[in-house]
Amino acid sequence: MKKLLGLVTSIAMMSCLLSGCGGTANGGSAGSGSSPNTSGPVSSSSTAGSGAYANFPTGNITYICSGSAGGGLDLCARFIAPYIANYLPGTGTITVENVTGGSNWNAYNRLITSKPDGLTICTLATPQFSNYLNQSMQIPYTMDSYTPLANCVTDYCCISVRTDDARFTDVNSLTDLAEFLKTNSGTDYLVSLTSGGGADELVMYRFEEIAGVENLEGINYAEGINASRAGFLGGETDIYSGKVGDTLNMFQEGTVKVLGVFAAERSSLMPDIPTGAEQGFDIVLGSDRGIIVPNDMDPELYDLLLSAVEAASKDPTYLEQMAAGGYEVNFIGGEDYIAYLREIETMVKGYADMLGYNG
Amino acid sequence: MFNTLVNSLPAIAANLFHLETILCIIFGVVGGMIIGALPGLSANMGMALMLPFTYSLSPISAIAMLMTIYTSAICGGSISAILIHTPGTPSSAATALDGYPLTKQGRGLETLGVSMTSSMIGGTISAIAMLFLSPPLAALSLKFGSLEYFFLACFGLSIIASLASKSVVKGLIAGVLGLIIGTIGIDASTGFPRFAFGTISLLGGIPTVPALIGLFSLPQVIDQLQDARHGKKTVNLSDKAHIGTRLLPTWSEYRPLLPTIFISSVIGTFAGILPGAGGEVGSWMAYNTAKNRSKNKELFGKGCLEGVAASEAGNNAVTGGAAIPMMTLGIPGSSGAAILMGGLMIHGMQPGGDLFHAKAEITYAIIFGFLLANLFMGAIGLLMARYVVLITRVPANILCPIVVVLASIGSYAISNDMFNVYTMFVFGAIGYVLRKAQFPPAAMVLGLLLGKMAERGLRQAIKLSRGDLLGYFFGRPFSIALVILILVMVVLPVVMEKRAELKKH
Repeated sequence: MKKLLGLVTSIAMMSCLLSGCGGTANGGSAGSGSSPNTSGPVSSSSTAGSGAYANFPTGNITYICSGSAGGGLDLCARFIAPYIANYLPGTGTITVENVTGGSNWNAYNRLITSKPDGLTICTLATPQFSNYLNQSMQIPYTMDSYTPLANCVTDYCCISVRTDDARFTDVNSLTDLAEFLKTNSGTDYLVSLTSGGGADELVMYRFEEIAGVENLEGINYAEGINASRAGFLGGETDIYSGKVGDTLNMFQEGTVKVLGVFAAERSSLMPDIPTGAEQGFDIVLGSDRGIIVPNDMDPELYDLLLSAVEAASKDPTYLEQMAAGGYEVNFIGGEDYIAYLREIETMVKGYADMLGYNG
Repeated sequence: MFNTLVNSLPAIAANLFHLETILCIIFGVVGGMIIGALPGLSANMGMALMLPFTYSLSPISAIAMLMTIYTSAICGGSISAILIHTPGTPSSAATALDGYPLTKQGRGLETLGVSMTSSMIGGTISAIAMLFLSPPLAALSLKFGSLEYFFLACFGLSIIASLASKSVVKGLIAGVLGLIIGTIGIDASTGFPRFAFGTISLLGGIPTVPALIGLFSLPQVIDQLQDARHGKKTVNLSDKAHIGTRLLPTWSEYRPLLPTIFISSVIGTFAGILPGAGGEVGSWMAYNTAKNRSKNKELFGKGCLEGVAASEAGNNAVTGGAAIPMMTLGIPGSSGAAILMGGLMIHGMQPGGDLFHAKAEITYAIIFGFLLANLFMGAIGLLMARYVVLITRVPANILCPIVVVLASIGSYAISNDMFNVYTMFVFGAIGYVLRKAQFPPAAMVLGLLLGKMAERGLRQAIKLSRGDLLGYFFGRPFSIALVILILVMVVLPVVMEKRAELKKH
């Protein structure tokens, strides 16, 4: 009796475990017939796919995400995955798998060592992808170790101050801020940043350079965006260098004044805020979330994946969902994406000393 | 605010008592509890997996379900902590300290009963705080800056002294070891890799959860297998054949727990609203406070219902607490609350004052849903307890391999990386050595968990102080209060003991 009970209990536990893991594996898949698909397009509407890849994928595509479950990078991947699957000719699914740690390189490493059969793709976040330039990290790879496919989402940088901060009553633009910093050049002003080497830190350096000031002091909130925002709202720091996505809420609440958005065009989420370039600060920088694939992929397969991502990025339901979540879809594909990443890499190299990348 | 609440009560009830919402809450309770009980599968993972699927649900059902998964997973973590000494979530590490010894004494069922009810009360109190105190509590959370987080971490670390029952020196050694291990990986302030030795896996630091699972579960397994080898071939986890028939302790035993549960809930809610303090801090702070207040200090760590009640009320109160600054300011108090915010936003609900005015009906319905979820969680948890506790009847030679498998798969599942599994085994070995040499492994866990928070806080504070740290400190009343609190917590027990001794003579 006792043995039987033991057996039953252990079987029960194991099945619980397996179903738990099954949940992990399939949760983000497209094939489970859940909500995003119902209003999405049917598989047959795929744009490409002939010859060898007419039925690609028949199995499951693993979409490696270097961020942890629930973070911005992860959510963007989970949102687009079912749409990409729908625009591919085959019936296969796409599953998001979080491979975290190692400053993204655990995930990149997994991708780089995978076969270029299209069944493994991976997220790429800028400008963190270029952290291999940090010599002390001894990363054996560079950005040539993988092939960029397409960018999906860009969250552009912006600089804000608190509305109730009496010192900044007359500061309503980036030009005002530059003037303000010049007149008070004796004081250091503290800037809320999120961890080292991020786009917000680069923006701060470029702003200082163009404005010709030196009295901004970055505070790296290693805990992340929320600690950075809490520090800024709590009055620990003076200026917030963040992104449209994480500033939007404070902006809509009226707690902050956004002085400028560092995008090529005005943000659809903050249409009244002028861009940096409009104010003479020609900086275009943000946090991009894209997709990379292993090197040596068959060009036909690469194009098939690329066209699926492009079609997904134009899907109205997807766009609606992303807009609600505060994410700006910014499709950049193939060669353009590679060139775009090269540009960012070159810029990071320029700030290597300030970022402490040269040891 | 109260007027809005009262006026919208009928609408709230209509929204809430909808078949879809109720089903979502029940699904969340059961699913969350299973995810929580399995080591390595965390509340965050469960919520992140469900998030894309909530898009088609109504906002109330969707958010209520996510919150339910969150709180229920935290509660479910106590099941494995109590029964197999493997914390299902990092938040229930403190629960294992007392829960498992109780199981060994044959009181597993009662302990589960206390854990479920404490979780329910903790969660409910945090839901009430959310309902009535959101704006002031959110404002309070902003008063906590980097320096305060540093002192809060120090406060947490001071628990080490009380964890070491036999030798304070051994406790401190284990704690410092944890602090040192916590420095491995990229230093987030300057981007410099420490003790990574050119290995990519170590750049991200030692993953806390696998380390925790290893430290707690493996030494236990080895111990039991040793027992099994020494004659007792099929020892049960509980030496006594009966596993207790009482689901809850008697009222006279339970009543003294109530003040502990209440205070722990308040502490947990408070720890939850702080975005710089992780969810784990709440249960440890509650545990420590309960121990300091208790008349039976010596029982803590050897099987004390108060310890279980404190830790479980504390960690479930964190869930509601963490949602407070998320809803009012858009600053989530924990990573779980950050996922909730993602859920709110895809339903077009921007966090902020608007939630409590223009969208008050939906928001209050969600909060009431959360309250209801906590009650369901208590009820379902108590129902399940009778069956889950049967695990303790499984002979050690069957259970031990299962625990190892669970620990391995759980560690792997966190980031789909074998490195985590190796970490788990290495820390299992470390834990075994510590145990044999009578160092408290829990002290190491605290060092590992709180070391990073302390370092971050101190380094940011030094930068923020613009070179005048002492002046900066004296300008921050909350920091001063925290330092006084730490001093009192450290000195008071010693003074009390001395006084008691003097009285005896």
